[in-house]
Amino acid sequence: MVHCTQVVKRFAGRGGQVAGLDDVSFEIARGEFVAIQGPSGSGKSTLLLTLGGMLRPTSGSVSILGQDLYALSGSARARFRAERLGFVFQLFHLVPYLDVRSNVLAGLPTIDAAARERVESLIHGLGLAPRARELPSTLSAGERQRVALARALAKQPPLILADEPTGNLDPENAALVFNRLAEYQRGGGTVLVVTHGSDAAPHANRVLRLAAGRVTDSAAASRSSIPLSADLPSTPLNRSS
Amino acid sequence: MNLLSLILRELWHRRVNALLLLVAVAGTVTLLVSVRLLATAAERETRRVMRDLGFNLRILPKEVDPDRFLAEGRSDQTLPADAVKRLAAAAGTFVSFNHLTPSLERRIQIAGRDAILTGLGASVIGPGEKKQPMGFNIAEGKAFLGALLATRLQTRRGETVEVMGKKLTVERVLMESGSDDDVRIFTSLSDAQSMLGLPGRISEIKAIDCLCLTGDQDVLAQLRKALAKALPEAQVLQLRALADARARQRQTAEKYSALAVPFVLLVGALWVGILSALNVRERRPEIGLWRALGQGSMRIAALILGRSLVLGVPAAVLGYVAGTWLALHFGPQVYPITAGGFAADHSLLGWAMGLAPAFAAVASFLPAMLAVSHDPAETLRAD
Repeated sequence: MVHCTQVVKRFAGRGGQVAGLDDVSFEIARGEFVAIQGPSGSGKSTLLLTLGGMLRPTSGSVSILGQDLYALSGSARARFRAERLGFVFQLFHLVPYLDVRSNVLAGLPTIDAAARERVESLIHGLGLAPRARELPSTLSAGERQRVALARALAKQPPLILADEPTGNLDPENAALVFNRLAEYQRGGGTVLVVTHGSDAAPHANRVLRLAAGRVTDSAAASRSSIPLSADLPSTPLNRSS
Repeated sequence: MNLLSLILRELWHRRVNALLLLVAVAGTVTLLVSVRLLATAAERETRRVMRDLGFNLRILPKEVDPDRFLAEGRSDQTLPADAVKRLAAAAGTFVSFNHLTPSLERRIQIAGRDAILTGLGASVIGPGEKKQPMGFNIAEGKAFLGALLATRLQTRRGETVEVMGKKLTVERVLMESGSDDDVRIFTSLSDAQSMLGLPGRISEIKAIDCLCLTGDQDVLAQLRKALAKALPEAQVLQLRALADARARQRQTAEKYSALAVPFVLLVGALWVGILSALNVRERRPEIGLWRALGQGSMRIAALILGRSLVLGVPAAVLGYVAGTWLALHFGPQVYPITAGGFAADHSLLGWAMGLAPAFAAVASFLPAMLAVSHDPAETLRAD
């Protein structure tokens, strides 16, 4: 599903070139839930944006679903993102002038009746129905992240990339987000979460550790072979939508 | 979600920026509309002032001695009346001359008093021009009397005066001018020819010059060259003071418009550009998000340029209304002579509605390019 091969990303700094990613290589199989852990500044977000086709690496290659992302033109890469990738960001990144429903719809490359039905189902499933007509500025942090999650899930992408998705959430909402991502993975999707904490680990099949732009450790997580449905509490958020 | 809906929601969401942008475009349109209306008024006023200044060229028979003509103010030599037609028909005439007005003039006595009889023919203007003919348009059997002459003859408007055995109705008594016009009687050219026994003849062709040349160019030499080709049996004298005054007035009016329009456009474009740049800056996270969601450069540019285009339409209407009101309200104080000529120009609304959105979009072009080239990683990166 994801092949990251010898990826190097350097940025221009005051004292010359600064390495954001330093020879990063790993693979993610279809249907995996992978967590990449690392402290702030370790290059997690840089890695995620590189995998998302938004940050061209200085060298190395990124291939998703057999497609070398940076061999594509800018517009073809944008199309690929629109159709194949879902994003969840720490800062939610909702469109401030669109209501909840429109924000979720904004993630869809095409909107048909089935897509609308899916969106409504997600809005209900994530407990957002009473706020469907509200603007993001009126929502709590947890609600905003649920909107962002619904937006990523709505187009049913093969791969979801989540950057510190629970960084601004209380434990309860953090659990809801991870549960939902795990449910999505159980349904055949692939999830890559980057986080500075260890809260994603219980939900992940595999954990990669990143430090100073390098993958330093890779380990199978404890739940890698455990059926997720067995350890998830029953909440409105992990019901099938 | 369609583009227009996104643009409208964003405009409503960032109302202050949208309002300032609307004011910027509307302000630019307001100034341009009022400048345009005032420039038209200036042109009208200039035309009126020019007309009041009178003709500055006198095209005379070649055999007239210029020294004697200038000393006496007239000569007995004549040209055939069809000289006007020939001059008007010659190629390039209206590049150099305009308002060709044939006249026949003689010193006469009316009731024992000295007077000047001037018969005026219809003015000929350049083909396709909408200018009002200069001079008087006098019907046969009618006369305009100079102020002093009317006083001496104790004749008022509507009364008749007998000139060389012909009775003429006084249609107008002219205001005192302090010139020889005060002892002049103006009639139609045909009446003057008949009274003077000079059918088909004229003394001269009065005209004004059309050349708007710079100070270092010899206007008179060019006029003489043009006349030599068109009417070789004539010569031209230029009343320099009038010509200079005319040129100065015309150039002042043109300079005003030529300076104001680029200045207004530049200031308006800067204002719109800065507001659009602020909008783009505020929307960087949103632009990053649209990128992440797979929106291409065209869509991002359309979001930025589209808001300028959308705001341009109401701004055009507002600017047209405000600009017209300003011109109609203050214009008459600036141009009192032709104050009655001020009127709204509805064609400007069409122009404004077409050009204001385009102007706003062009002024937002650089910010739009900034948005397109914005690196989404800058705003989406959390660590």
